[in-house]
Amino acid sequence: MTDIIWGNGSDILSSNSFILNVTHRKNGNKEKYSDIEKIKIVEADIPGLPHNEAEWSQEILRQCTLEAFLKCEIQTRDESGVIMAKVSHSGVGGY
Amino acid sequence: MWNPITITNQKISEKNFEKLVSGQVPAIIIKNFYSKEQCVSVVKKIEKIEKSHFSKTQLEHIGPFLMSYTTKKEEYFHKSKEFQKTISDILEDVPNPLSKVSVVISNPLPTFSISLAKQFEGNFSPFIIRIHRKGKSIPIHKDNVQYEGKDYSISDIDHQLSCVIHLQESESGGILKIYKNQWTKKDEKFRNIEFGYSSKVATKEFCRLSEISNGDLVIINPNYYHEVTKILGTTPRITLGMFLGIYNKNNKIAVWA
Repeated sequence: MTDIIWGNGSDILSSNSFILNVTHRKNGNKEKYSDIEKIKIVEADIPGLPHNEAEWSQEILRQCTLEAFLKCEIQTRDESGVIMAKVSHSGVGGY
Repeated sequence: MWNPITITNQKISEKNFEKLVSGQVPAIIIKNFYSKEQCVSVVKKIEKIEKSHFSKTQLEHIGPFLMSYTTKKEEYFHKSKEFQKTISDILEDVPNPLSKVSVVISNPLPTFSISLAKQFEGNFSPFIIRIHRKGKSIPIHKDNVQYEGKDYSISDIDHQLSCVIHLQESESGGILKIYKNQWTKKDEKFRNIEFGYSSKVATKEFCRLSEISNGDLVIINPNYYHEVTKILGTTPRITLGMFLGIYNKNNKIAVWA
């Protein structure tokens, strides 16, 4: 099973990486995750973020992730500690 | 006190409409928007549709809801098209809710035109029907297409209102509570994992709409935090909802669900 963490986007590091302030962790995650993690997006499902990664920029990523509540399905962590993850936004609403 | 305005003559005054948009009141309730007989007729059709198409999937909604397709535009417009026949069948014996809402809104906004939202990919879905059964509750949340619907044309509206027709109330529970504070982006740190927000976001001041009857239309500003309390009765709570997006510049109102 994939490890999952949730939290709010913070500083932008590049056109495809950012800081996540972690607020929730899936029960049963295999690894430990700190309150602040560096995330590199390997797949995205975020409103406003173009499907084509070539169109991403730091500004677009900032508009789409800053403070947004994001779900990160973790694939791996590289040697420098950056997490590679599928990042998505969950926003279903309505009463 | 923060109390709703109740209207019995199906006409909203300009003053009352402004009070809703500006947050001076939590809701406008239009009594008997549909008659009790009309509600029974629609509910019967919903039950028939539900039994034939939806029970196996255990869906509580009939019709696509935009916020479930925030990044899946093609699927949303495809499902909206599919839904047209279903909704026509459900509403065949009653006046179209969109037409009725247009009449209600034309009094406070006489220069505004109202129509179903559309964009290059197709027409938006006009309504969503929600069936909430015993034990179900809806946690504190907001609806804000400007934030969550960035991939859609209607995200550039100036104001969003929610219109919900209460087709069938449960015997007990299922009460709409509206809190006297609006969502802001910084509140995203209080999100629940799947849906809604921690109770920390809501103010202590709130309004409970406990006097709603079958057939009443409730209009709220859905950016104010709101929730539905647990349904306690055996009769499901059934509603038909739509959003109105107001464009100030060109006096337009777009409708979607």
